[in-house]
Amino acid sequence: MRIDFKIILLLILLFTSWNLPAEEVEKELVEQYLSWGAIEGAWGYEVIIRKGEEEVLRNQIREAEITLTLLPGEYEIQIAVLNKFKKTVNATDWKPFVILEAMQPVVRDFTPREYFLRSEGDLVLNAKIYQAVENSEIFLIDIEGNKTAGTIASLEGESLELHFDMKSLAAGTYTLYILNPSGLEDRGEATPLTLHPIIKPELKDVSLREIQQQQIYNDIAIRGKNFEKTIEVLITRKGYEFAPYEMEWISEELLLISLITEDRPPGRYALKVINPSAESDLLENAFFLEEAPEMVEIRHIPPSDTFSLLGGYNFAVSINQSNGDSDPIPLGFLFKARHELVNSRFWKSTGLRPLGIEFALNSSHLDYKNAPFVYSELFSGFFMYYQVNLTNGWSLMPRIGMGVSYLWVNEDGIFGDPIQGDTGVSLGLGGSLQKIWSSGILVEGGFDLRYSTYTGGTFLSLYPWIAGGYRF
Amino acid sequence: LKKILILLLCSFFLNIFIITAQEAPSPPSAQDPAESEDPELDAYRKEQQDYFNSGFELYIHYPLSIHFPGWSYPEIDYDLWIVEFQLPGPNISWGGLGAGFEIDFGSRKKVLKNMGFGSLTELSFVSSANMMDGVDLALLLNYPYLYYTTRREKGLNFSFRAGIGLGIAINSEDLFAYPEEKEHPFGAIYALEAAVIFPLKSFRFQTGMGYRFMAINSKNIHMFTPMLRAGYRF
Repeated sequence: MRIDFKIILLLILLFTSWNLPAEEVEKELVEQYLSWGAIEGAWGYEVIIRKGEEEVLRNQIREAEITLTLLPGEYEIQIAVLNKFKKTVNATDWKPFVILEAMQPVVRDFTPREYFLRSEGDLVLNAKIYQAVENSEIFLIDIEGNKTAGTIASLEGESLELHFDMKSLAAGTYTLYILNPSGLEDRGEATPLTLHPIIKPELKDVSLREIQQQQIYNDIAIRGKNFEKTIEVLITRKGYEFAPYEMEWISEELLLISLITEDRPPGRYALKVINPSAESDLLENAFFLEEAPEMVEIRHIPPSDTFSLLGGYNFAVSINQSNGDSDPIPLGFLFKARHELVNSRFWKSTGLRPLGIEFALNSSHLDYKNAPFVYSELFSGFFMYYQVNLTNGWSLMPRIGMGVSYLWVNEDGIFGDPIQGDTGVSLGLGGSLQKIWSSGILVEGGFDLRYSTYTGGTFLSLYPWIAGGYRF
Repeated sequence: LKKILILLLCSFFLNIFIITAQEAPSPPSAQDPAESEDPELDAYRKEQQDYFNSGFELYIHYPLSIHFPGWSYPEIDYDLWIVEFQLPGPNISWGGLGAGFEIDFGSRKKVLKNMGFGSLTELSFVSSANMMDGVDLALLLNYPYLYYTTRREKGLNFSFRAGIGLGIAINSEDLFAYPEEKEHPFGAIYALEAAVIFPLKSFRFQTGMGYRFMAINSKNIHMFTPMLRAGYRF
């Protein structure tokens, strides 16, 4: 009778070495257990195993199972059925019989360890697993022990690309589980995978809208919904963005930010919040940044160079005189000593800082038209001036003051015989333009208008002048 | 009189400007009075304190001018109680009052830091109480000046002032001989003054002596002026 001998060759079991990692271990003999369907009426079985032409094992046994200790390798097996005379009744063909080394897989690591749960597509993990094989089974196991199977898209050495269907996953924490065909398994409990839900933030309003350059604003409240703890905040305008220098997450509805506005371009800015899943919301015109007011230099004490000396040239042009008429003689010297009024009371009031006092001394001459003599005048007096600073060291200085003039008359030219002299008083005002360099050297030019009154006569004259000097 | 009023207004213009433009003063910083071992630091603190003490002063001024020679007749009848006697001028002006301001430069340089700029306007009635007949005039003086004030920590402090400016003789028709002079009662003033300062909190009382030389037309006059002054420093 032909026995349809269905031997189920299953390789199971094994216990190679328990200590697996990368080191090569001396291979130990392990037991393999083999069984098949028993044949009714058979006395026993003969198991013959050969490797190539060499017979490795020939055993007569009573039961339909055997325990072997074979080294890994490719064998052929034949199992014969024996009758009670231990004669072969029937025998299988030679069947290939492969002893594989059992591989203990170890989940070393994988990336990403955190991921956002999207509604479609695959979750792709790049894993490092020791001793994974192509037909290893891969699972993600959640906290409750539910398994989600994945597929091995590629396997190169220890590097695996694993794919899981997003639809079958929910937000939560998972561990990666591998089961090798040999039944050896590993669960990467030290390296959990966290799947985050995707949350879209929503902006409602900000507590402060008008801001200004060069300022620091603290605790601006941003209200909205679904703010995650690691939310990112950006202040943006077309092609330009900056982050608050500080951000505090208070609740899912409230964030506090601080801003340093510096010299950022003025105008309207939008506010953008980005949750870790890259979901974002934008609030247009959240902030209006104004230009900073003009900077005021804060100095508690004035600079130490507040004194200037000037020397130069001037001449008198008679505008009006009570007796006769005169032509200008382009000859005359000019001396000015100045001090700025920078005492602490005036310095505190920035409007008074540019005030100063000038002591002026100058000489001038006029050629009297109606007779052959010359007027000479020496003036000394005080002026109060106000220095209006322009740019690049230029300044404008209007002044008003009074002084004493001595007028004398020479016959036949400036150095002719003096005829008579008189002391008078003068009131004056003027204006000048000054350029000063950082070294303290300055040049200045301007016009003074002076009204001088003497016994028996008055002069109204214009004095163009130019001078150079030093401020120290 | 119109001219005089205009000049008066002009002379007060700067004073009023300063007063109105000034904000209320307060000490800029409370200096740490604790003494340190560091002489450089002490010097710095002192310099800062000196600077923070600088400011300006408004004052009134009472002059007692003695005029040489007197702008009067050469002989005067003096009647003192029961004694009657005659002496040639000077005139003495009992009735006068002045006001002015002083502004510290605020410099931190050695000499300049004690210096400043001031202006005095004064009206003296030459004839008011000097028992003199014949002249009934007043002098209006206005002169800006520079001053130097000692800042010694112990003992008395002094102030020295030098100025030039304008003098006006009011009611001076009898004084001058020529019509040109009568129409032009203005002249130059050169002033030198020295005074002792008595401080009392923010008040400054001064007593001193001024010498003013005034040239109005053909009349030159030397004025020796003992004076009292009371000011308030801001």
